[in-house]
Amino acid sequence: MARKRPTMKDVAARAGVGFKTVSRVINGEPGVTERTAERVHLAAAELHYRRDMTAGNLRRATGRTDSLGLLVASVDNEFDAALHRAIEDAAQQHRVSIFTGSTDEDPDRERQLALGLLARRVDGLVLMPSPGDLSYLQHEIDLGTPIVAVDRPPHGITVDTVMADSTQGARDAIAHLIDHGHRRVAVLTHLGTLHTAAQRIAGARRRWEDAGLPANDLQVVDGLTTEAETAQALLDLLDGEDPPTAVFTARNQITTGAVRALQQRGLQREIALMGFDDFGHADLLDPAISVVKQDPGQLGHRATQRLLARLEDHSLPVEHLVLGTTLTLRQSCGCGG
Amino acid sequence: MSTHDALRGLPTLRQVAEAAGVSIKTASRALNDEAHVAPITYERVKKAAAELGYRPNLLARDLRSHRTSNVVAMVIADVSNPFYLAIAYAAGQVLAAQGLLLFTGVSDEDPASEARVISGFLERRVAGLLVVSSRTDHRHLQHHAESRTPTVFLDRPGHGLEVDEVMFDNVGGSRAAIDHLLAQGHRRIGVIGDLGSLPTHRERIAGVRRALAEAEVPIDEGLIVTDAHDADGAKAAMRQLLARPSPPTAVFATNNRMAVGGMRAVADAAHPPALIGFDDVELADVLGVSVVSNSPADMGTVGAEMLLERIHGRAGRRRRVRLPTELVVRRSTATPLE
Repeated sequence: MARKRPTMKDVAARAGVGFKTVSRVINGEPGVTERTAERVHLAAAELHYRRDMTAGNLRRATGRTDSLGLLVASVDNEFDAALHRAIEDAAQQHRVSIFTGSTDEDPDRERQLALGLLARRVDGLVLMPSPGDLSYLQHEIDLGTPIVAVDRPPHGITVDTVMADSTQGARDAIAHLIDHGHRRVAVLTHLGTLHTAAQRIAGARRRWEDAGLPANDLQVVDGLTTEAETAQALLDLLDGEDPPTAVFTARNQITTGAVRALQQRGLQREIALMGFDDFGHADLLDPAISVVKQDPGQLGHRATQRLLARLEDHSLPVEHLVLGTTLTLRQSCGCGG
Repeated sequence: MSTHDALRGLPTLRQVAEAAGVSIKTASRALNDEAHVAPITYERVKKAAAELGYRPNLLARDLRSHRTSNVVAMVIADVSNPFYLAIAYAAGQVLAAQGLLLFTGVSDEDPASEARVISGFLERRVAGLLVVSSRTDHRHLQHHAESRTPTVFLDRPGHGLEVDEVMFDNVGGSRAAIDHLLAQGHRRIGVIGDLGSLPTHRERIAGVRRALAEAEVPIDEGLIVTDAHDADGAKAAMRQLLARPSPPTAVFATNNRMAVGGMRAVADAAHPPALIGFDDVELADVLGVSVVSNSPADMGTVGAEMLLERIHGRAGRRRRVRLPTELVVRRSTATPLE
C-alpha cells in the first residue's frame, strides 16, 4: 500500500516551526536563523521530503502528471538511442511525455538526474542503471513510484527488470565462429565489471570451454572505451605472436573500432568479425558485418508497458523479463551472406 | 565579483580541455571529480583550469540555496538521428562542469509536440532551454525566452524571437558540394532532400540552386526529390532518380540519413552515380563517401556556452553563430566524369 508523499506542512509539524518558515528555508529565502534552518533541514531529511520543483499544480484529476523519466547510459550511443526511441513511441500511444537524462555510467550523475526527475513529479522512471547503489530510491519505491530497470540489473533495489540474454547471445556468436573453424579468437569488450560486458565475456568463455578448446586461445581484452583504443588493441593483437583469426566485439562502438583496424591493414576479408548489437550501416560495409543482436525496440516497449501496468496496480509482483537475441549473419563471419 | 558578473567573457571548458590536451568529456569528468579519470589526467586538467582561471560550479551557491534550478532542458527534433544526439551529448558535458543537469525531450519534427515538450519543461522550472525547433513561428515563447528563461536555438532559427542561435553554414556547405561535382564534370545532378518544411533543408536547397545558377547549369526540377525524410525514403528516392530516362550522374543528399539511404539503393550497382552528403556519416572514411562535414559536437558546445553566459546574466543583443563546414572528398566523388 503506497504511503503518502510528505509535504511542507508535514516538515513544519515535525520541526515544530510554522509553514512559512519551512517555505523560506526550502526556497532559500532570507529571514531564518541558522539554527532554525538546520532544524527544518533535519526534519525534511527524516521525512525524505523532496522539494517540488514544479510551478503550480501539475497533477491532473487522475493524480498523475502524464510524464515519465528515462535515464540512459549515454544519449548518443546507438543502442541507447534505439531504446529511447522505442520508449518515446510507446509513451506517445498513451499520451505520456518522456524527460530523458544521460548518466554516462556515473553513479553521482545518475543520482542527481533521478532525484531531479522525481522532484519534477514524473509518474515513474525507466533507467539503465549505472554500477552505483540505488538504495536512495527505496523511499520512492515505497511511495508507490514505479521504477523499471532496462539492459542491466540495478544495485541496491529490487524492481522490475527487462533485459536481453547477453550470455546466450555471446555463446551463439562464439559457437558460430567455432563452426567456421576458428581456434584462436579475440574477445574485445568494454569495462569488464559492467554487467553486460561480464555476461558477454562469461558466455564466450563458457561456450569455448564446452567445445573443449584451450582457455588461452580465447583472448579477452576488456576496458575498451573508445574506437581508437579498440583499433589499437586489435592491431596489437594482430601484430603479436599467434594472432587471432577471428574477433568477437561486445558492443557496437567496439565493433566499429575493430572494423577500422581491419580496414586499415586490409585484413577485413582475412579476419572474421562478429559483433554484439547491430549498428547503423553494418550492412553497407564490405564485408557486411555479422552480428548477434538484441531488440532495443522490444526492450523499450516492454519496459514502458510494465511501468504503466505498475502505475495502474502497485501490488503487481516484481517481474524479471529476459528477451532473446538473434544472429544476423552477413559476410564478416565468413558466411556467404 | 558576483556570480552574475562571473561568467561573462571568462574562460570556457573548451579552452581548459585544449590546454590540458584532453577531450571536453574528460575535462568535464575531471572537474566534477567523476570516475574513470586517470590521476595524471586529473592533475593536468585541474592545473589548466587554475592557470586559465576557469571556475567550475560557479552556480554552486545559487544551486544549494535553490535560487536557480539546476536543470537545463533541450528539445531534440528527432531521437533516431545521431546528429541531434551528438549535439545533446556535447552540451551535456559543458553544462555538467557547471553543475547543471541536462534533460531532453523529443518533438519528432512535430510543431504541436514541440510546444507541449517546451511547456512541460517550463512548468518544471529550468535554468535554461536549448531548442532544436520544427516550428516556423515562435512568438508564443516570446515572454519566456526573452525574459524569464534563457534560451538558445540550435540548428534552426527562432522566428520572431530575439534569442541567440547557433547554426551551420548550410548555404555555403551545399554550394561547396555542388561546385565540387561541377568541377568533376557533372551536369545532371540529382538531389535527395529531407522534409521540405525544415529551414536547414531549405537553406541547403538554396545553396544547390545558387551554385547551379552561377555555373549557368539549367535546373531540372525532376532531379530534385524532397520529403524523403528517412533512410528508406531516401533509398526509394535514389531508385526513382536512377529509373529516369536521363538519370543523374551525381547525387547530393541533404543530410546523413539521406546519404545512407542513397548508398543502400546503389550498394550492388555496377556503376553507381557519384554521391556526396551533407553531415558526417559514421565510418564515412571506411565507406569512402564524400561529405560536407560539420561538427554537431561544436554546435552543442557553443550553444551550451552561450546559454551559460545568458544564465549568468549576460545582457545585450542576440547573437547568431554560423559554424563552418568542410568539404571532405573521398572515393564516391573523386573520379571525374568521363
